[in-house]
Amino acid sequence: MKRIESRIDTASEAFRRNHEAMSAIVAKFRERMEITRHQRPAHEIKRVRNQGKLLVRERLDLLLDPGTPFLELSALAACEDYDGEVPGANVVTGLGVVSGREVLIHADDSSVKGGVWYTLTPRKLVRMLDIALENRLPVLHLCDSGGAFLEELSGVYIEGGRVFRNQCLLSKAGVPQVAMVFGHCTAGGAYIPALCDYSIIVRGTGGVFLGGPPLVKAATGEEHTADEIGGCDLHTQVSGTVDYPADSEAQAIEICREIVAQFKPAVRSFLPERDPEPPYYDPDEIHGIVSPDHKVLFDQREIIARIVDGSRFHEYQPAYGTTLVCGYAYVWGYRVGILANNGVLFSDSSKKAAHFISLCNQNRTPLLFLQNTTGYMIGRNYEMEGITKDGAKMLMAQAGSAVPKFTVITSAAFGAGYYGMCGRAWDPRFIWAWPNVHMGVMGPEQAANTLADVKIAQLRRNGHAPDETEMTQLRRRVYEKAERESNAYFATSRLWDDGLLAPTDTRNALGMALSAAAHAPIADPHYGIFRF
Amino acid sequence: MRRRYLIDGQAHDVVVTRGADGAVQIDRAGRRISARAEPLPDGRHRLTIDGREHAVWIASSADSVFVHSNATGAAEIETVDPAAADGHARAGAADALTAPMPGTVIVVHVAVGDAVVAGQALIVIESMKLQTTLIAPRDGRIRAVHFGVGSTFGLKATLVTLADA
Repeated sequence: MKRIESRIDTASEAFRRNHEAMSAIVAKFRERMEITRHQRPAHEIKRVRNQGKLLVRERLDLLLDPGTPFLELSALAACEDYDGEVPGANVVTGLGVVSGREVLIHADDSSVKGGVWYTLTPRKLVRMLDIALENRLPVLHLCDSGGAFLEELSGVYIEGGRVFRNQCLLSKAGVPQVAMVFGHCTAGGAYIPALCDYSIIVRGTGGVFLGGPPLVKAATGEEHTADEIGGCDLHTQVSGTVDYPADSEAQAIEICREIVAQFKPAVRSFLPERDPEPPYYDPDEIHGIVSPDHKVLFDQREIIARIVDGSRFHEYQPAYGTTLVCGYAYVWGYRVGILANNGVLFSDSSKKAAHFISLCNQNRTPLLFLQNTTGYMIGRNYEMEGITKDGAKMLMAQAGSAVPKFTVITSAAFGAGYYGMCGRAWDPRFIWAWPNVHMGVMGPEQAANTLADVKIAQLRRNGHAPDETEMTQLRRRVYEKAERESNAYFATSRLWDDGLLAPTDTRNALGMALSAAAHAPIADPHYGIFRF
Repeated sequence: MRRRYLIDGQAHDVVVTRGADGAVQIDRAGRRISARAEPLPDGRHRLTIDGREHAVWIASSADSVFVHSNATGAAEIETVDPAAADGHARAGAADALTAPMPGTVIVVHVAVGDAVVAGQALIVIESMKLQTTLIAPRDGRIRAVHFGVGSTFGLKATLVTLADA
């Protein structure tokens, strides 16, 4: 397989400028990650310590196999909501290795407001459990939450139900789950350990109850301590709701590790086919290739060259539909079919995509979408050529696709191109965005101008002349709102992706994701009606 | 496996067949050679070729293998990928740079008569919220720039033409 020949001049002024700007964007991202993961007010840390509990990251350190990678999911969930005061939506989720098995982890973070659930908390949990269902990955729950936040009850109520429903479906699919009860599992939360195949509870701090002491007192007048109505001994000796008692968190984690070691080994649907080889070109150079301005196009082959094994790429239809690059490569030894935008999607590039997706399904090749799209081409000539039905072919091929799909947004995600290139709604097994990304139905400038035009027409119809300064203000207001909401942090805050990814971490994340995806069997592809 | 190697610059077409016990069969120009390579404790390799033994040093880079023996000196062996040689049609060495999408010219970096090298930025266009820099597909001289800054053009319009340097 031929190595991509890079045409990047690393000594050029443009490279230097991009590198500086992108490095700053990535440094800012890493700083926000660091703060979200580790920075907590001293009094909150003291409170956790006084309860005799470990912090969530300390628990993860004890649980995960030493020296193995942990791929955290949606680490910055809720970062632009609730005034940014609920780090990660009070829960850590991720893909890690425990006792040599790849597992998904849900770990409550009780260091802010006792780890209460906001609306985004169950949304994040449901997404992790969806990943578990799609990839048949075991789930470990580290429970320590105060239950639903009383000011967010309605949001939590609806979204929370799906956490428990997904747990049931996992069990039905034969995918094991283990719960470790470190703190309280109250109300709905009590179902989390109850729906697991195995559960462990820590004596003294762990509690499982449908109604906590204050609620029981209010409802029936009974007065009990938390330990009396749902503590370790009640559940492991009397009710049988929980399986194993533990004297400490460390012991509970050791019991869990031993249980995971008894899981039946995973049967993989595909394996690496070659010895992995690092990219020939330095992945750090991505910073100099991608402009922080999403309007400036770059050759995505240059990105492929810095992600795939040996920078080798077999390009499919290199001369046809050139605004979409398609071809085969290897990532950590796994064969993948790559679709990468190199401009606007035309009829030819859309048909090429549909054809290539079918080919990859035929030969059981996972698909990697490298998304940098401003959408499908518009205009009368293109409509006559059938751009809409050709885009529909691409969507149909994608929806009928049965091989695992992965999406990485490298710069722009605008318009229907986001759908065609396997956006969130098209069920990629994992979807990530780089921190420089901009996304939305249309660009901020287009949104502002379109709305201004509509407004001016409306005023004219009513016989008013549009006031120039008023129009400028309207444009600016719409532009600023659209700009703010097209930001990568806004999107990741709402769980539109599975987290932001530094460009240089992309290769490793893909390697872990491919290995995880291989846990589920691959069905035969079947498609709906293609409009020819 | 059909392979083409360049040994010190000269091309050799061979068919390599692997045997069960580390042995290798090489068919070249109608002749069959049996060979085997085994590592030696001192870091060299013992090559057995048609029953004759040679102790050699082997070093490899990404594209080549270097074989050194005290008897014959060093030889560089490069693997040639026959699939890579063709293709490459995407850039082509065409004289006309055409518009990949309809749009507007934003920047023109060159003027008629300028000498340019392959990969040099010639013109920047904007279309569908995207700025695309078009680069010279080969070394040459600018024969004509067909659109100035601010002018609009259609799909596949010729934007710049090149002449031989």
